[in-house]
Amino acid sequence: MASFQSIMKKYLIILVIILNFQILLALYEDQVGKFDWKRSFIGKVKYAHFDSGKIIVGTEENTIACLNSRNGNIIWRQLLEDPREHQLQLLHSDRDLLSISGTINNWFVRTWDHHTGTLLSEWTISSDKSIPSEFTVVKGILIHIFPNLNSHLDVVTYNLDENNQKNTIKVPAPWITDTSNCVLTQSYYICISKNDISGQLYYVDILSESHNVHVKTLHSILGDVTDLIEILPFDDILPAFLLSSNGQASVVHVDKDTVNRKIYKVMPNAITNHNGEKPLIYQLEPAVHPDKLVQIRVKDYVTCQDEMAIELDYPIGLGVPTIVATATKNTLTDILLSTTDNAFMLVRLSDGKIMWTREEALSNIVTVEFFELPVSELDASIENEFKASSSSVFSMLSHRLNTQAKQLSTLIFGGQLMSKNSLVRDEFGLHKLIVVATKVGKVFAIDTLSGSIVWSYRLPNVEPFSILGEDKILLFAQRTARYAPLPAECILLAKDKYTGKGVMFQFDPITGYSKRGVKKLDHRIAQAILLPYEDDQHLKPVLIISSTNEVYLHPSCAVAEVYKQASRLYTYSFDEIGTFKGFSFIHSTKDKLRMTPSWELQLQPAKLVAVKTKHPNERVHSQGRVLPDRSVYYKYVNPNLIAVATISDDLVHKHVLSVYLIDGVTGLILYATSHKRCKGPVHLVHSENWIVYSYFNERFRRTEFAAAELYEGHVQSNSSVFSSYAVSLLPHVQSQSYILPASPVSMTVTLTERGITNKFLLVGLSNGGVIEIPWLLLQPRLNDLPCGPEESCIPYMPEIPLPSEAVINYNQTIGRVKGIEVAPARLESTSHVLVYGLDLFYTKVAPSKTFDMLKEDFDYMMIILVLTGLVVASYLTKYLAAKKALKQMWK
Amino acid sequence: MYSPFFLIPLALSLTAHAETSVEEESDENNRYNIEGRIFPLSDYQTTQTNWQANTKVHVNGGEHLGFVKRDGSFVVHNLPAGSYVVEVFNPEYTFEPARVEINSKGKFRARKVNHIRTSEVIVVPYPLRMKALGKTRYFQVREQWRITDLLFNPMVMMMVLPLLFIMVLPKMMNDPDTKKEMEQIQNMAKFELPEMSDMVSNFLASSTMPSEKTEKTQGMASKKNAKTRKRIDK
Repeated sequence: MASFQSIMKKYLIILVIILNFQILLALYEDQVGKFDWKRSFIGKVKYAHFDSGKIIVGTEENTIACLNSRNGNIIWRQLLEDPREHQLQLLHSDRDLLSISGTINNWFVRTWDHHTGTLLSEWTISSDKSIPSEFTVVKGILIHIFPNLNSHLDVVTYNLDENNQKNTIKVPAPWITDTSNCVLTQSYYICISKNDISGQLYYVDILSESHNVHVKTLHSILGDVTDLIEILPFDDILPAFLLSSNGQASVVHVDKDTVNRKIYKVMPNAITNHNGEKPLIYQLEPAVHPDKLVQIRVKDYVTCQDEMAIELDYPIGLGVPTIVATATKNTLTDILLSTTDNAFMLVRLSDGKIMWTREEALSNIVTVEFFELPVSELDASIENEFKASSSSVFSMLSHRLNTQAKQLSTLIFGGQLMSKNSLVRDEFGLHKLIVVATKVGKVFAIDTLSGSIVWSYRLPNVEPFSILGEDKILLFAQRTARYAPLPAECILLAKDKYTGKGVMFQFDPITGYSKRGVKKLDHRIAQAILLPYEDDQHLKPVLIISSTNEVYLHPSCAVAEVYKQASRLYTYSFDEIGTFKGFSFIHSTKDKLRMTPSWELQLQPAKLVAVKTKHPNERVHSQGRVLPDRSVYYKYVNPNLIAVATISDDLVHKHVLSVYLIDGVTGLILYATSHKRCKGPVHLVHSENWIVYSYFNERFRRTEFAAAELYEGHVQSNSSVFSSYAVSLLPHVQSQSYILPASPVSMTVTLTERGITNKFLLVGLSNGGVIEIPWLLLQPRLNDLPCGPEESCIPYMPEIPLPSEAVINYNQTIGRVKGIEVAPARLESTSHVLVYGLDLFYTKVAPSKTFDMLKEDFDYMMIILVLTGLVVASYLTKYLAAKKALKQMWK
Repeated sequence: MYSPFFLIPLALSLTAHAETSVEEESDENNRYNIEGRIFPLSDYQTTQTNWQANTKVHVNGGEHLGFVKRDGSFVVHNLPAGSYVVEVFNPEYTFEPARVEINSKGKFRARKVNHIRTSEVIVVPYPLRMKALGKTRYFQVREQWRITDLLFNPMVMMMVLPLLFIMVLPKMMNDPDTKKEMEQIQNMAKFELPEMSDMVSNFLASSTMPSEKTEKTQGMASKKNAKTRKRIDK
């Protein structure tokens, strides 16, 4: 017992040390919102209802939310299960809000309070059939339909008012051939047998006693139509659907055994509104006016007379809209539009003004890149002075005088104010531009200071690549804004949605301007690399490898430049099943680069789960670690190192996690380890001479972190240039593992300008917090060395403490963290952090505190008072001393 | 601190059971629900009117979710038999997680989560009763300038104490009692340090005899007068 208590005491002491150490890193309460911001999103809207001045929405991100109809702000939001597996199936707004979400055969039925978003009730439906099914609510009865093709309908009804009483019905329906030719409208299930005029229309009322199937020919409803006919759902007070052909649709009502077609035609995107004075139909059309894009046509529901056509101030750059919901209150009609690029907006009639727009594309970011801003015009003109080769002395003098006069004027007339509003670089690089590419193919530039969108650009019909199950669009900074007269340049690579071939988009990240626009490539992209060499225009070429191992360069004129370096250029590729291939470019010619396979590595049958290289901009400041005996233990810093994690199934150990460190040039495995009975999710971080990875230990049912650090030893083999071929000794590896009392969903490491500052791991947790863990806590302790405060070493403890002060987003929970991106500021102590997921959160972190900046609570008043006090006191004493001396003289 | 001593033998027998229950999770057909209730702090309702909607129940790091009803109760549906960590998250409050084990027969057991000693069992009641441990402190308290901080600064103390000796001690000497004491001390110290004591006694003599002092000052005044007179003479 005594030993137990002593252990506890030891832990307590360690904990105290660490808490003292960590408390220094927390935020002050008055710093909230000073340099961080958060934007909340909901995802692409699937269902929307108006509800007394509020909008209830259900989205494809399996989220339900309540928005303020005045400004589009979120009143409450509930994140349901993971949208990759669960999808929202129904959102029904009645007395309470009813949502059904789930997988193919398991659903959660939940009712919510409209005002607060509090859960009222929850129950589940599960079925043993794995076929797509539909839900609807008619008069307090929840109907769940499984259409069995060419056979029957399995219908389960639940009486929502009477304790969810269950009733199972089987409706024979051999006429169902394709569920895409069927619609469910209220309690009617309606199908067409063929997509042309010879087809038949079948419908059945599920709630009727007899389940009589009614059959009508399409010809009897539509008359003579030669085009293809489609059946589309239509929301109306009566059971109704649309029969659409050639871009025109007819509204058809069914009621018992009668089928009524409205005499008029509408657009397939039409929607009805019954809560105004008289029922109306709204539909979107291309605008007649050349300056406007979209107009809303309003028709009378009964007579089909055109009431009005309102042209919208539809912004350029948004995708094609569809109407989601409408509502009329007094004389105002609100129309909700959802676009193909996931924007969600409210249009108010009758003037057609867009009240607000929510860019929901930002709820699904796939790639983030930070960009430095250009210098101000004035600074640029000073730079020009040295560049312009003006021969005359006088012109140079006048230029100099001119710029200095301008400098003076900005100094006097508040140049500071101007630079705050415009996108101009600041001294410390704290103001940057974040360019993000979203899954839907829209690119945004976001200001780090305010979080506002600077520009956006929609790339039509593109989709991200899938790398190890993760969506990724490639974004490379070819030229930063540092080279003043030349604009910054950036390249984006994605996949065409239809052909699968590459799409390239070259643009200026600061303005969003693109000279060439979207360029379609005639090959698939297998790999793309930003080369580290600059051409005479300071442009870094991008090397694209096609799926047939052809090599392309952008700009293509850089071939000669790259050829010079070809003997030092290597690349690697990997596929999902675990084959690594290394390539060299030694067989390139002056006008064509050619890849030559150099090594291959098979990791099968293991499944590849993570591949990480170091950040290309990372700098390692100190070459070694100073040991207590004053000797240096040199780090093994190999820039070509690839960290790989695989998981394989094992009969004895269930899952085995293996981690390899592979040299990308030679294919040499420098380190390999495995963890038995460990499974994913694996998050891997690779920096300097170390890696950290997280995994779930099935044996102890806990999440663990493992850290491995590589050292060359007490002598450095080559201090100037590193070569992968000069291997004399394998690096020494120190490793240690820890317990993380939380579940990580994303992990990254901070990055600073020169790498002097300590490293922090930023770990996104499942609870929506992002926590910072000092690398010092994870760094493997050397076995034979003492560890204590004198050695600036924290004694090993198995469980990593996660104090709430280390949560960088404090109480601002981030919905479904997907990734964390970091970028260095020009101030060594600071790095920018953007956390993305359903929400966006930006902040700055300073792992070693802001040692190069005065604290913001620095007491200027105090120091001024003290200084003036000292000056006054010294003069006073001087005077007094003189007086005294005089008196002495008189004595 | 809890007393783990008598629980350890019990724990050993139960963990064996726990380990096997994990192995038996193959029976997919039986689905179970974890139930529980969240007990807010006493000041909960006053600060957060809608805490139920902001509180989430995560099972196994968000694999399964539970939402909190108005009365604080929650149910996590559709779980196969196995071992689960139930965590309650609220932006303002911290809750302690619990591990719930459901065996293949549908028996429930809840215990405290201990990642280091995974075999240790401290049973907690099931259905779960999750109590807020306290308000989460995200922020560091900013240091405020206080006069006491300045005064107790070691540098200031080092400065102030000698100053005290210089300023106050001579004043104290004026006190007749201390004077006597001092004299006694001097008498005692006379033998050891004759020169010093002479000096001190001379000094004291000059300051302690008021009559002499006045005379002296008068003398000084007369000296001064003499000086001026001399100058006038010149």
